[in-house]
Amino acid sequence: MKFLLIDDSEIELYVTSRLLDNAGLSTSVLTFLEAKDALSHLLTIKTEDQHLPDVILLDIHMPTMSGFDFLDSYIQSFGSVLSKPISIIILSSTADQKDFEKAAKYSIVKGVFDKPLDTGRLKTLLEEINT
Amino acid sequence: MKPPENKPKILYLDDEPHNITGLRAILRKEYEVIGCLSVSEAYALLKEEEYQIVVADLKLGEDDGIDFLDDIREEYPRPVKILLTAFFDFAAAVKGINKAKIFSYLFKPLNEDEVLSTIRIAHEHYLNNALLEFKQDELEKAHEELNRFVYSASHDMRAPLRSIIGIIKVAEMEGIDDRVKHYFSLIERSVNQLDAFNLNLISYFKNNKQETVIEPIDFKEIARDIFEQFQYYPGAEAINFVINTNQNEPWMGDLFRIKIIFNNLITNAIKFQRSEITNKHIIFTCDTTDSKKATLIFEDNGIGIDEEDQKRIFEMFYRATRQNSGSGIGLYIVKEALNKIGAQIRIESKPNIGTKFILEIPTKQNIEA
Repeated sequence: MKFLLIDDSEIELYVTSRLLDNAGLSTSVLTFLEAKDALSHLLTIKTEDQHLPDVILLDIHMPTMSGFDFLDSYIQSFGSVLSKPISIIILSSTADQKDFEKAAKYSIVKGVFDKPLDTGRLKTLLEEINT
Repeated sequence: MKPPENKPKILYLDDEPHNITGLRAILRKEYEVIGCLSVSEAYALLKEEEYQIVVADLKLGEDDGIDFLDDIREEYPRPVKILLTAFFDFAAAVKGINKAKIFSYLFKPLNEDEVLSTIRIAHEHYLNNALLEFKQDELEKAHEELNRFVYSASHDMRAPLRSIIGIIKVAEMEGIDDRVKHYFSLIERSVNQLDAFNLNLISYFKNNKQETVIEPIDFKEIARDIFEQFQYYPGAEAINFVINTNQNEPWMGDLFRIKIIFNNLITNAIKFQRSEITNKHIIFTCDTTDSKKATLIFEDNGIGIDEEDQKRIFEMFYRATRQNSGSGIGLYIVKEALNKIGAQIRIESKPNIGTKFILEIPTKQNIEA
């Protein structure tokens, strides 16, 4: 599965990539420190299904463009354009329950995870989504 | 001499113009006396600017000076109120003090020394109150800032803590030798402790800030969720978790605070087990048959708490044991949360037998229902 990770911490990007890799979940992992860069990347490849990720792991608290800003822009930019379904999953260390509640309200968000990523739980969730 | 604009302002209400002229003459060096002849005029002036002192004559034609001073009290609490009377009237004095909360009296005919000293004392009183008010504002601001600081510091601390746990996980997955693995597990345990303390701090500040929201509550579900959440805790897998409940329909209460309470009591029961026994258990009993309250019991057969410690375990940072290096804030938070929802807690415990926490939580009515 192709993963796209968005997190403002390089350590987090590294850790999550390694966890996905070690769990044998990912065929490729693309990482972004800035949500807006991830968004423009997605815009340039939006018609190329083979390059689009299957899963986006998204942090919430980030400078310039937050996870919520990303979700809003994502819906605005892609809406129903994308032919390939992308599962967006929140991966955050936020201690604020309200963040999780807010994230869960987005229909494009398929799950909310605390850090570090529980790959076992992610695997189960992705299997549920894909069946 | 002070510049005139800095002179304290006195509003003087009297229906006889020559009285106003008289008082102004006595006070003009130190105070600016603004006179008015009617209650309505006085209201108009009060609206425009702040006066340090308000003097009112007792007899104002149809109006009464005491009633006026009483009426302006709520809207203009700061000016110091003085009543002016022609002769000592006992009933008026009592009414003035008890009803209008006046600060002092002046008598006619005005005696220059007496007027000056009375007004000076009144002005000093005004300044003291203003200083007190200022200091209280400062204090409240400082307190609020401190709260916000601890709250956001706790939030910010969490991200790097979770990073450390992530790195340990990766290291464990990618193969490290046993000794290093042991060190890493120690680091992980410490970081988890710090994280738990941090989350406790956050819930403490939230408990203080958050408004009460009444929601339907399923006690069994909350208890089970929390127990499952702490399955990873060392030793938790050997504990038999039993739930006894007669709750058939949702109970109305403050879900956020109920969760804080459950979280701390259940994790304590997990943490303070006796490692040597094999039949470890935690029994959660919930009785909602009384429509006025829910009775909840958390019972374990852990290390127990001796009588002396039982009195102190709800104090902030009090730790009764070295077992499990907690911070001693958990039960303090429980107590604070219980206070917010008007609940009672009782403890029955014996060392090496176990502990029972008995809670009685008043049922709240759903406002929308």
